[in-house]
Amino acid sequence: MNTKKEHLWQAYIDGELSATDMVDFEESLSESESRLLASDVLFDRALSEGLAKDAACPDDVWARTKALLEAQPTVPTNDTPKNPILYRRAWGPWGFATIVAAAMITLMVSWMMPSTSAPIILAEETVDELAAQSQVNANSADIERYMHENNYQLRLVAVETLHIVQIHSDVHLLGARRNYNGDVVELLVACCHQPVTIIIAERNTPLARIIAQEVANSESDVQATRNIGNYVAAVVSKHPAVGLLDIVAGQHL
Amino acid sequence: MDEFLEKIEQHRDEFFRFIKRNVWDTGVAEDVFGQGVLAAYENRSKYTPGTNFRAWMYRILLNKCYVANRETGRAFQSLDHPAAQDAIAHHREDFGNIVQDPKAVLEQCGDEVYRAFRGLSTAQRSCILLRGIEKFSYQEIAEIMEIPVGTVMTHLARGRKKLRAELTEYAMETGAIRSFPATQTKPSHATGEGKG
Repeated sequence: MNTKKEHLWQAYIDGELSATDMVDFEESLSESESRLLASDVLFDRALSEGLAKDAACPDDVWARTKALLEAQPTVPTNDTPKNPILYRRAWGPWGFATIVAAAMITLMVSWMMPSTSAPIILAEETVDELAAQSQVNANSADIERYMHENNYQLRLVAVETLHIVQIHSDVHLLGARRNYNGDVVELLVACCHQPVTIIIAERNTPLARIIAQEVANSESDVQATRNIGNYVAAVVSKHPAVGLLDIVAGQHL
Repeated sequence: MDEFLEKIEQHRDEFFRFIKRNVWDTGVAEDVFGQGVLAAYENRSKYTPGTNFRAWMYRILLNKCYVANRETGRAFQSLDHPAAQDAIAHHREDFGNIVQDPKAVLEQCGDEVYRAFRGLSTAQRSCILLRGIEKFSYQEIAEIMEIPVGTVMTHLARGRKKLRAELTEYAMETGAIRSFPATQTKPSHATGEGKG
């Protein structure tokens, strides 16, 4: 079954197709496929019912969690200035304006930075899963063309010339995709039979700043970053593959 | 704090269920639940009132599950092992023809259903749980998991396929179902093979 049909199949099971699309899809199936689809619908329903059973939060677990939260500090204590007169003189109207300005700047920065409490993690756990996400053929020429079409003026180095190939095994391109709501292009690569992506984001964007911070996050899969002209590239994987950053050559003239 | 706790308490069962079905060990699930709720509390200023609170929480809980599963390792046998791949190859197309009542088969499989579910990747399990039980749309799941919608559909397809193959194999071995001949005669209303 090709990927498009596979996706339509799942969308049918999950009721994500419009009424018209459902009818069209049903009519496109053979008799045996129709039987299999009907069985899949029943299977998924039964599976969900089974998984939903006997997994409620025990009362003692909730009580412990609630106690943990209630033990957290709520608001900072406000110490009364020892000398209110000196305190007022030290700040005065200009001090108040400074505070307001700082608050506004903080608000603007937090508004510009997309809030996330989640580390960047590579969701795909196998090479096949990652390869299935590619939006382009898995060769350098097509991937470069894809990047240029998405306004990323970058060139790729031939994989076989990378230094990492001398140390790691089976390093090859899987393709490319847009991700993070279309804000970045990701190169999809296999290395030692493990999936690896190379996120490429424009510098001075909120996502580029988040990527730079993720390197310091032990829960993140971002291993390293590199500035390449107007872009920042980051290796994302559970497999150590920092050397794959060499695959992005620099700006195409 | 009270309002925040009320929101969590309102959904505590579904949050705990999601974690338990992802990390499996009850003790680990309890720890991850506590860590996840605490992380949500510490980051509560990042939640915008009026937006999808459940989706916001699931993003935090899911990342705790990823970390927990990485730390405890895959203690169970993956469905990527060769025997399971053989089962997938042999029975993928037969499932609809040989299983008339999937619900009854799953009930007879008993705990094997949970064992098979554990054999999926965290991403596949999460997609199935968020869609099948929590009824999030594909777009919402994509936003929670920060992956493309196409990836969500692929995870669903592959996870469900692996489960069907593994459980069909188990059901046949234990006699819960019997294999039918590869071709069956039955009244046909079709005019031929589908366009698919």
